[in-house]
Amino acid sequence: MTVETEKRDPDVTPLLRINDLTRTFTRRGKPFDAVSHVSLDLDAGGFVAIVGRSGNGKSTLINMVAGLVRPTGGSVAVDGARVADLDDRGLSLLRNRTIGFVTQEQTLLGNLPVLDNVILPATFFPDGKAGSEPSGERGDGEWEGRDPLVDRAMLLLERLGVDDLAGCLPRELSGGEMRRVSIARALINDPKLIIADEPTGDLDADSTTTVMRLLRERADSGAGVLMVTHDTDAIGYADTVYRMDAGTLSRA
Amino acid sequence: MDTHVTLRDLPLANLARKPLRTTALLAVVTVLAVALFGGTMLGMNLGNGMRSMERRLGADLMVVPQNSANQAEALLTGSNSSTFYFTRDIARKVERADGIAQATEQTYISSLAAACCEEKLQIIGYDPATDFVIAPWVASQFQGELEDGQMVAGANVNVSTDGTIELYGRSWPVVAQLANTGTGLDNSVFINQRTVPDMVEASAAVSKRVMPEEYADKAVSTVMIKVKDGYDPQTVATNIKRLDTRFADLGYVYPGGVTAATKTALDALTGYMAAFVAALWAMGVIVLLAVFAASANERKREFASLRIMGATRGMVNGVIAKEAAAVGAAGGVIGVALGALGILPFSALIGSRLQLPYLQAGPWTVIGLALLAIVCSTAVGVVSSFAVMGRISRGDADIILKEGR
Repeated sequence: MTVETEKRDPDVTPLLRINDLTRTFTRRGKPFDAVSHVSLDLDAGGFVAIVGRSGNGKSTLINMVAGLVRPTGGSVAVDGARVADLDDRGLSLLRNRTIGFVTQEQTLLGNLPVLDNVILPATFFPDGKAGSEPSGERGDGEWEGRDPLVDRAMLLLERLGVDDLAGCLPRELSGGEMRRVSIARALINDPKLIIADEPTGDLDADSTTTVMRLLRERADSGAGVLMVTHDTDAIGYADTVYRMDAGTLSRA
Repeated sequence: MDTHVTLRDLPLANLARKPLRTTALLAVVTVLAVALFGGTMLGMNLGNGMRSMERRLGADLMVVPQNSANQAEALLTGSNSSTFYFTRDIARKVERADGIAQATEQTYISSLAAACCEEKLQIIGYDPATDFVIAPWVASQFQGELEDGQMVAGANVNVSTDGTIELYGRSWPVVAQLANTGTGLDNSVFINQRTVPDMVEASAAVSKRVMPEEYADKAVSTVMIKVKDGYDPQTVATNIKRLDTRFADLGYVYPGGVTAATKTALDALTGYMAAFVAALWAMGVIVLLAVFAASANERKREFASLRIMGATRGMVNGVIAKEAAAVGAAGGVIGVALGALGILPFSALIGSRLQLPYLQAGPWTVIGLALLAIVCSTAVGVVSSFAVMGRISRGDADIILKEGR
């Protein structure tokens, strides 16, 4: 099945192109398609939400987009680059610079404080954006004159309401706080494509609003957002909503 | 401006935040480094002592009084001092035997460990005119003629700042101190034969007389013999016994045999030591592999997180390798420091307890050995961490993340 975001210009190369993507796993000796022949285009500035019951292939789909899982068939192209054609460095660079991934799992590094967790991805490739000016509005100028990367991370943490936890270790944080720090980390490199797997899973209503407004802002600023969610409050921020059922994707 | 975290900081942060794991790894590597550094240095020092003893025992045959052969051997190899002697007329007669190229007499007196004497020493009287054993060695430190009443001191002898040694209530001037040999000779002082009667008289004045007065100027403890080409020491010993029926009762010591026996004991000891160190290292590497492999499972989530953030395999492997190298190097340094503290200050005690010649290696050798131990400890850490790298490099990051739940 092929689905496209609404009103897209056919002459513009989409930010994300998923073409006939399939991933087959084996369960108790029997093969089954976790993702079955899925196609999807997402333009820059688009915000797509995918809903569906657990175990229907949503996370597998977005993990294949990020190159974390190899597809059995089909292809994924992000910002014009076919993910399958990239070598380890190319794929890592794509994950680091082009994609911001908010995983369903808690993946903060337990040995680093919150601020360092957010900053770390910006230091992997020295020709990247480390040290660039933070995007979005600066708060009250409290961090002016400091390391721009620290400023940038602190601004994101402030936007997500966890700036007061910058010096804490992840084990000192609640699930919702860790989730918001993960989102800050995913946004530190100003990614063109934001992939978020249940970004509001552990959040209360206020925090959900904060996170979804931030993601919406990013989409409005030109980033593509691909979100998997069960949260009905979050769905309202998306331009288009798809349903994933038994590995196949359809318009909700 | 603040400095921010980089991937380079991650290995040390990981080690610092996991003190139990880090301490356990450090302990294993430290034990390995102590074993490698300490075991190798002990073996090396024993080997040095052996070679030194071989160099110092220039005689092919020692003829000593009846029932004194064991004491003579102990005097050569260990630090047991003793007094034994026969009379010079016997020595002179022995020296006339067929097959002797050179012969010289030595007299051994054991000083007391009492108020009269600073420490228990072996006093060796030798004849500079005929000596071929001690003189060449003494000549390396002292060029002049050893006058009556003067002494040359072995390496372990404590000489006062005024250049004298207190023996039997008298201060004896020391003209030179010899380099370390790792043998009992390091605890000896050397005097010429004419000084022996003075020493005997001095002993009589303050404590028990070391030998009767009538023997003071004619006591000889050993005749050191170098045999002529074409003769072996046993043949010369037989020739000596033919000179006088009573000579069959004399003690015959073959320094080459003493050396061979000592060498056998030394080889056995160093063999056991090498086997022990090898076994310890094999076990240590297995333990390290097990610890790293266990930590690989425990840390799958952490490494998958790095991959999801965009770290290359090389970056993740670099973090793992740097952690392992840091633990290995730190364990190596601690191990070398402990080994050095346990061995270097106690050279004399170790030699005395082992009853084997023991000569401490020089500072450059010790430094080289220390560096080798640190490099090996670092390498074993890094090699063990390869197991983790292999596990992390295989498979999709998402699947590794799921396994790490």
